[in-house]
Amino acid sequence: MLEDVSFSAGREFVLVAGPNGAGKTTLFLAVLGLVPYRGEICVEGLCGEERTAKVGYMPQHVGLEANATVWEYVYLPARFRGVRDAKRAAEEALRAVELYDLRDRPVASLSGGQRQRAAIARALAVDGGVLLLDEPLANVDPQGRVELMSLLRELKRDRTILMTSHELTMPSDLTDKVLLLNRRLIAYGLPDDVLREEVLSKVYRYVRVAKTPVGYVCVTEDYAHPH
Amino acid sequence: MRILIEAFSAAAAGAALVHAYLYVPLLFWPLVSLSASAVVLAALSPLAISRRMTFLAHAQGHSILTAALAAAVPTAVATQSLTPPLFYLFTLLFVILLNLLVLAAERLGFRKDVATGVVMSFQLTAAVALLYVIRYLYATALDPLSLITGEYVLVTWRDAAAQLPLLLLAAVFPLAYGIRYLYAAVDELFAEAVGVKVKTLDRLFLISMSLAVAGSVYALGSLMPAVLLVLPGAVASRYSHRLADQIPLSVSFAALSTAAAHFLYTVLTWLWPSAALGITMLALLITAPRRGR
Repeated sequence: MLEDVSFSAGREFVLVAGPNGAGKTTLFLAVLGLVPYRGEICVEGLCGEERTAKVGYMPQHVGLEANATVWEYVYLPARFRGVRDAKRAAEEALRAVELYDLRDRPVASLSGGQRQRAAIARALAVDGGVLLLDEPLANVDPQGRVELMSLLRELKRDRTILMTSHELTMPSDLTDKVLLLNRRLIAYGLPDDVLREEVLSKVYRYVRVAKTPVGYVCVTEDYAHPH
Repeated sequence: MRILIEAFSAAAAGAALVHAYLYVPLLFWPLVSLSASAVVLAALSPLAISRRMTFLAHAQGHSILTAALAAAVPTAVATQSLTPPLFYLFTLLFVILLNLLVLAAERLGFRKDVATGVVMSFQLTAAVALLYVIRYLYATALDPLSLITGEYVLVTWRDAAAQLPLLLLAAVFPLAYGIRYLYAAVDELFAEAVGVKVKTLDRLFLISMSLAVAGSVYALGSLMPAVLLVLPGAVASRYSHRLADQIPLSVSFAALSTAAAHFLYTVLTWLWPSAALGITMLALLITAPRRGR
């Protein structure tokens, strides 16, 4: 259950933070109309079911163990959604994440970092200006993380990106806003206003925050670990 | 690769039909019936073995036997034989009921493997009871063995014509929604996010599978449809990692196996065609190339 959440975002990168079970994924599913909700959710001025056509989504578990090529993995959803010129959209998305040359490979053969990029390409191929990325940094090694950050910097130029992450250490040139959830909205604003020990301590048991010249270093620990 | 397999399978299927027509005319309509059944079940096979419906596909094997035995009782009451189309219709009814029972058992909260075991136990118990009922009440009208092995050599053009509507209806789902449904198995949540109505497709698939089983049970018997819902898709997945190849390859291997089964049966008359079909499928599976990753 997630309640009392109200915010708006422009063409910017919003880090969605909160402990396990805070409702980060639920928030995304509500935007996609996949869970029941009360209230109003609008994307690019569209508030009905048609808003989902504006949203590209990368789920936490990206289904890469199946029989499918990288091309099919990215192209078919664009075709299902009725994206105009789905082939071109898939091609551009794969080029953006530098996987076009691997398009005939089985998705199951990709490395961890390549899998995350394939999932982002799939979201890009169907997005209409808004990207919801659910834990894209999970299971990515340091090199993959650097590449992913670089890709996200490129993508946020002409998109709204909402990204959930347990990892709050973020470069300052990437993160425009931080949305802090714990079954309700705890804080929403600039990183300077939200990534502070007195704010984060409302949802985390242990918090240490340091601002460096390149970004924020945050060490946190949940109050409770449901798993 | 796919085109070669498709061409070779089509040639083999054509050769088997021509051979049956010219040299063993009594087996022509049985072969037509077997080929049609195998091809439609094979079109559903990649969908049945995909991650989403594995549980139902496992339980399907037991559903068919029980449904065919249950259908035989009212069919015998009405016609004193297993004559289609009444047998097809009763089988369809019982397959759908038993499939719904499988899904209901899953909702009881058991783990999938335990739920499969519970449903299998019920269905096998019901099958044994029904076998005895049939032998006790209809010993002169029905041979319980024919319900298990099928009435292959007795199939006429009328029987093939009676199964045709069921098989055609069953073929609509894989043709119209096959790729969407396969993608739903890749990533259900994402498929729903882009507008694929997965739960509706689940229900349509269940109906399609039931139609295919009911339409093929007279020629194939009540055990082999389960084999054809699993093996062709499994073989296809060994030959290609493309989603778009799975259904065409599965159908091709089914056609190829049916042709091989026909020739095997004409040489080894003790080897029942549906069993020969299964053996050919297993041979294809074992000898399939291991896909590199």
